[in-house]
Amino acid sequence: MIETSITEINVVKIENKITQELLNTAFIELPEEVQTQYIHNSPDPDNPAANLFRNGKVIYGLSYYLKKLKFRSYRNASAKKFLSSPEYRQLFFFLIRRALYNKVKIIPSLLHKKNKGSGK
Amino acid sequence: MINTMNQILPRISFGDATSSQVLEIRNYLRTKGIVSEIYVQDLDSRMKNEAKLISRERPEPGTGLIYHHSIGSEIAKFAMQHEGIRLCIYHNITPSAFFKNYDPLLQQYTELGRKQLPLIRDSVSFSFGDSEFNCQELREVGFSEVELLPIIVDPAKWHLKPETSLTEKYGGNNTKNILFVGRIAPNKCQKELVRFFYFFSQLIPDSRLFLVGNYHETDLYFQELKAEIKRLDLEERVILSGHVSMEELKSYYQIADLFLSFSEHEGFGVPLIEAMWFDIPVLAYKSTAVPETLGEAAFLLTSKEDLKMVALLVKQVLTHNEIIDAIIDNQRRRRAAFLPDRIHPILEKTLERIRRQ
Repeated sequence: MIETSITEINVVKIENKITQELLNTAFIELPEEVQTQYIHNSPDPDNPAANLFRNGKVIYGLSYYLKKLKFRSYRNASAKKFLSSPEYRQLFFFLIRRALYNKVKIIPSLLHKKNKGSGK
Repeated sequence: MINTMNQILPRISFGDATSSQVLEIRNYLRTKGIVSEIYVQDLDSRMKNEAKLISRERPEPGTGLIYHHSIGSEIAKFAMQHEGIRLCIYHNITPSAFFKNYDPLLQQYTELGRKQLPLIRDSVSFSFGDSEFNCQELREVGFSEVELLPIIVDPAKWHLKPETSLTEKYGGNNTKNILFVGRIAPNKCQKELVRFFYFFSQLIPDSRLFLVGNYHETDLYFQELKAEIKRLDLEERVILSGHVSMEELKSYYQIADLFLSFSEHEGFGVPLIEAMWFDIPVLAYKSTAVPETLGEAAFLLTSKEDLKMVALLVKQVLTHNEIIDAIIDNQRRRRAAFLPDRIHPILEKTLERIRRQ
């Protein structure tokens, strides 16, 4: 478990000591893990934007996403579901940040429409 | 006779290892009377006086050009078309598999970085790696003339006042402070460090874990890390600093009792050496360039599967002064290997070689 080039350190002695201590220590185990729903591990056939993201086509995902913001398909039920999900916020900021990094032109009016709440 | 030697890289940032090395090389070249500029595609606003954007200005044909490779980008192709002597310094590329579930763009760029290696191999006169580990990777791709040029870790940069609010808040008591410095990323394994700390804090309740490094709120790995800290009810004792100034970083180093790294990929590992300058014992997982960077001061974990054992080991180290003293004695010798006066002769030799060509 330990490897060292420091000659003054007795690795065997330390390893024996901690092996012994392990037997005498009552650790509280890690609590059972609840699977958190992140975009990358929650495939959703009704959520094409997230699927595009998952497939690595982020910029295409962004383009698709901006179209969503333009509400071309806002009345579509799956789009509505996506826009109201926690993944929406996560993906939105991820894509915008990446888009800025890659100097993709973002038209501000597209972003503002969501805030105005005009779903037409 | 070459009198201009420029450097080029995709991005220059404040405080990261590659950028610091680029500045060190530029400064060295200038002291030798060589004209030297840094060209980038993108820059941190704090570095706007240090580098030129290639969208505005380009290196002149006939001059020397050092290209720094650490990720895939358009800059590699651009640099390899430069008319003049071309050199490459390889800082290694994090394997793309680490980003598979977290960052598709970074996954693509890291894959591209490796795909670009043959182009670089066929275009440069000779190359450097900042560790033997990096040099070996280049040789495996067929690079023939590869030399070692370690990163300069100059303690002079710590001649500044620490951020006193941090030292007052966290220092000067019996609390055991465990530190890791590095951006929040899957290959750095901060999530495992949190799990380790869950066990360690059962052994030494008066303890803290400092994860010092940059993150973006929207990064999936950061969100997982945050969720893990919350799940284990460690929000009060695991401190995520975010991006820090040099003054703040100095404070974190000053209050640390142990530097613990679980990182699974390091091309060099500058914080390992920085910690040595603050006499913090370093315990690190044996991976990639880590054993080589630690050298004669290496105190390595060969396995981190059993985090309870690691917790017991860390307790053992922290409660035995003779172990700490032995590590620090060796670290004091090791850290000197990366001082400017140890690295400058390699740069001098390189200049001689270029002059001969």
